[in-house]
Amino acid sequence: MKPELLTVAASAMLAAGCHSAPVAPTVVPPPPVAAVATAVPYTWDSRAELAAWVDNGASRGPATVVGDGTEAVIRVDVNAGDTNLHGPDFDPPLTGVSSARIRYRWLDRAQDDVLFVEVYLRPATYDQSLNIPHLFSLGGGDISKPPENTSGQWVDQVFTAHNMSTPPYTVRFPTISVTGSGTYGPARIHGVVEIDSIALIRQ
Amino acid sequence: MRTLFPAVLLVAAVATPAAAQVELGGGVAAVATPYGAGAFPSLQARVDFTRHFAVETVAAFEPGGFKHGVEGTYLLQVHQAFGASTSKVTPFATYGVLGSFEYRRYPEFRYTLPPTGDTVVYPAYTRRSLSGPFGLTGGVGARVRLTPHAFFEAGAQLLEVDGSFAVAFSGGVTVPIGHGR
Repeated sequence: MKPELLTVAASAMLAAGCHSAPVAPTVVPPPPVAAVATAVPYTWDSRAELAAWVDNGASRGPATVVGDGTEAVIRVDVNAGDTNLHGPDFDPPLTGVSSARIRYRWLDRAQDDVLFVEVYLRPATYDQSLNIPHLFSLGGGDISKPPENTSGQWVDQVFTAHNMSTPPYTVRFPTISVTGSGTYGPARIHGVVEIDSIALIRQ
Repeated sequence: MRTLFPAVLLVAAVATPAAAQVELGGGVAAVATPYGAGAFPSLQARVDFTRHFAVETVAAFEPGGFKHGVEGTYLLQVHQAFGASTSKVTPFATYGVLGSFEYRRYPEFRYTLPPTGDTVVYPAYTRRSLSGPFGLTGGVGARVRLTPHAFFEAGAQLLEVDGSFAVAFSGGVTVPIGHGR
């Protein structure tokens, strides 16, 4: 190409400007967690049912299943770190979910320790631009309130969206996040949280 | 500004059938703005349409931590020489427009969403950006013959973008190439 024409072509290109489009991200879901038959639909209470939330390769944190039968519990050592329990996948996705119910107790807590428990409902389809619906108890997920929740006695609590999102939800899988903070920022909280049963409530 | 300048160049190219000479060069430009100053390595390519008129593109590269590519400012301008081209020293003026360019390679980036374990993957990609002209430039300088086929050029330019001004001082070496040298 002659230099004159090359100059004109380059000038035209500069005048027009051009920009490459940003690349859209993709979302890779975690490996699916096998479903387990439950005595009550969408309620996990026995050892085998609770184990599906813990011994699945997807859950993280210091959680173990102890006890037998319906006396079994998920024991979370909240002093050892945060825990994320990945529930079984639903295929097809579970529709009409409105809230969750968890029966739990918190043993050996220290004064001023704060514990947060939240239930996340992973939608059937998801891209990173969507907020994942999450359910929590009053107090922003801090289940150390009201006071009876810190007594070490069993508490049967309903977790809802509190207008942060609008049910019903279509759920591919649920997760439960158990975190907390001590009196001072980085300090760990103390004690053990035992989860006796987990249930998803449909409308 | 985006369409007028190329139109002028097109007219110049059509109106000057003489064989063009191409010059390539490199140097350093020091730019002072009300907000600070900096030095930028630069490359340039020039097409001489006549003995006195040429069109050149200058790319001034941003130094810094851009490990995966380059970015900077380009000048697209007329280079007008004065006096005899055989002189040891030839004064010149430049005037034109400026814009920006970017060519950067981003590696793959991924992170895991804590609540669900989903992994968000941004694939590796190359960002190519070439803006249209958004500023004006004009200046003067001198060209000194070092050897029969090498010149040293130094100049000063005033840059204007959205009512803000900057001053640039540049120096570098250019070498004619091709049939017209």
